[in-house]
Amino acid sequence: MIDRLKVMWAVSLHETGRHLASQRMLLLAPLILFFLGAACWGFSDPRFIPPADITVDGPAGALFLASVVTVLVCTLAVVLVGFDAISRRRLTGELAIDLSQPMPRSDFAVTQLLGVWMAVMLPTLVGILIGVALIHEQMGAWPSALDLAVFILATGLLLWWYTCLQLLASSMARDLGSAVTFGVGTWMLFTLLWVMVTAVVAAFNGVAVTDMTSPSWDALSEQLDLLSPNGVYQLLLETRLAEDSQPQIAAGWIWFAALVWTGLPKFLFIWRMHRIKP
Amino acid sequence: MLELRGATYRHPIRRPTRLRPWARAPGPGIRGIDLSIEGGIILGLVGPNGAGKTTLLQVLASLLPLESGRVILRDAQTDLQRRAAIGYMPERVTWAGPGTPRQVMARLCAMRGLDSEGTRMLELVGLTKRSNDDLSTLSQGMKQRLSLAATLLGEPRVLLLDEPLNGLDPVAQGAFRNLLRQLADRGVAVIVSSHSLADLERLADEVVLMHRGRIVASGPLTEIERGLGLRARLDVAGLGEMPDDFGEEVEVESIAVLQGEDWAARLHLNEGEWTAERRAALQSDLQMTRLSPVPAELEAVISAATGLAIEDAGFTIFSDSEVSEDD
Repeated sequence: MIDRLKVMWAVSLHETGRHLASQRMLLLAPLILFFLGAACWGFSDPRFIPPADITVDGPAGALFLASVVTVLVCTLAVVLVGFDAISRRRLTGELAIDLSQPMPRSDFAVTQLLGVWMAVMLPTLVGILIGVALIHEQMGAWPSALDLAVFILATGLLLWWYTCLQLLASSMARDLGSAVTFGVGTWMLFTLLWVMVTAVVAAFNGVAVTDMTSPSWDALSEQLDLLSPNGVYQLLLETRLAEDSQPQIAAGWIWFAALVWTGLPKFLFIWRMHRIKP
Repeated sequence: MLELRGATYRHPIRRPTRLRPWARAPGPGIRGIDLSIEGGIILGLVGPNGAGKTTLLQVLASLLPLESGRVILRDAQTDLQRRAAIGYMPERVTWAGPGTPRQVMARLCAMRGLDSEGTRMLELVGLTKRSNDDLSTLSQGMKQRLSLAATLLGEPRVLLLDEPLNGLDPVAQGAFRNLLRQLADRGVAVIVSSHSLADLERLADEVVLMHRGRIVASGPLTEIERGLGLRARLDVAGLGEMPDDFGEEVEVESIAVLQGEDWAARLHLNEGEWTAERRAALQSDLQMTRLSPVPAELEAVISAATGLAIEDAGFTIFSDSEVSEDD
């Protein structure tokens, strides 16, 4: 078992290196670093006036607001790095060589997931650490170790969920165009269109969609957020906010949803890799 | 060493109906294949496009699951053990993306749990000088060599090579044939697929002729040809006057004269082989510049083996009616 894990780790490192050395990563990594740093710097600036009822509650609050960058930029980076991780190899014939090696297909699938995930997580982690330093520079205080740990863990999970979804799409796509369409489509659904899905469901349930501050809207949107990776991510981060900003839904449900999102797409991808024909 | 018993695999193809738009039906593939190969033998797998050569190799490489039948490899019971003992080279891998041949080999070595065999394999296929170059800068021939190096990792007992000569220049083809012969001499069983009998003639000890997913003939190429009643052919050319008569049992056909030749002809022997004695007899009477046996055309062999007209043997792969019969 240890040998098997060692092989998986070694292959994952090769995959990570390959993605990090790709041309697209040379563009994406600086963007991730820039946006994360800029968001942390901006949201922790004492002169920053947040819109509506949003408040910046110390370093943890600034970090929470900066999570908009991970939702918008880092997840898109996963889509752009992973859309052809399987489909291109299938088209070039490399996948046939990979699958003919004496490595279980499930192990191979996990190495592909880890490769893409680590390639995006690495600059994201560096960006978060730079961001935290900038928050300290602006506010003169550090976020607590637990706040930072939850933020990094939740961000890692979010990127893992997107990696699983993207590689699943890549393994199903017959051409690169389909793979990128599926990936960008999924990203748009959860990032830009989810509020519309929530509004439609709310309307069908008799909840007033014009008043987004009502408790019934809050309750429904939190429940629906469990079905979206971005929603679960935000709920996980909200568990570290002040009492009045805490989610209404029980923390157990949020962590259960995180667990399902971590396992289910991974399981589907491994199942798909068992059936894939080179 | 490697045996295939009653192997059947048919690729599912889409057959949408109004009620079942995603319906699929079994399509082309391989049917009831029995095959065995011992170490030290180079087996040529030959057939037209769509004959099932690639499917057969992928079944042997444990890349496709069998619908029925068995793959048996001595001292290997599981798929993983078989894959460890088999090297598979797909047809025309167009290595792309970031990375170098050295990195490709390092990754594949990691997958096999090997330490540093990659460098040695790159040296073996003559890619050492290009081992740190970007993959995108390699020619198709270089990429073919890289595929071969990848296939040789882990010292496999069986090599499965799908159209390996494609993209290689004549010099590389010669080196490739020598390498395969050396590996076979060391006891490796080699299966090489090709759609050209001429490619396999100089390489394979035995040939398996495939058509529409089935084996239609097997054995040494000359035996197959004679067994099917195909006449032995010999291209000859020489200086001076071309003889009027090459013997009673020989039919003469004109062919193109090359530079430095006064005449050239293709000799069809009505019965028997162009034995060394027969060739020596020709050479003793004439000033020869060319004397080379000519393998039969693939479509002629398939036509003779299947009873199909030559034009049908060449292009018909699977008819719709055959697919329907399998539903």
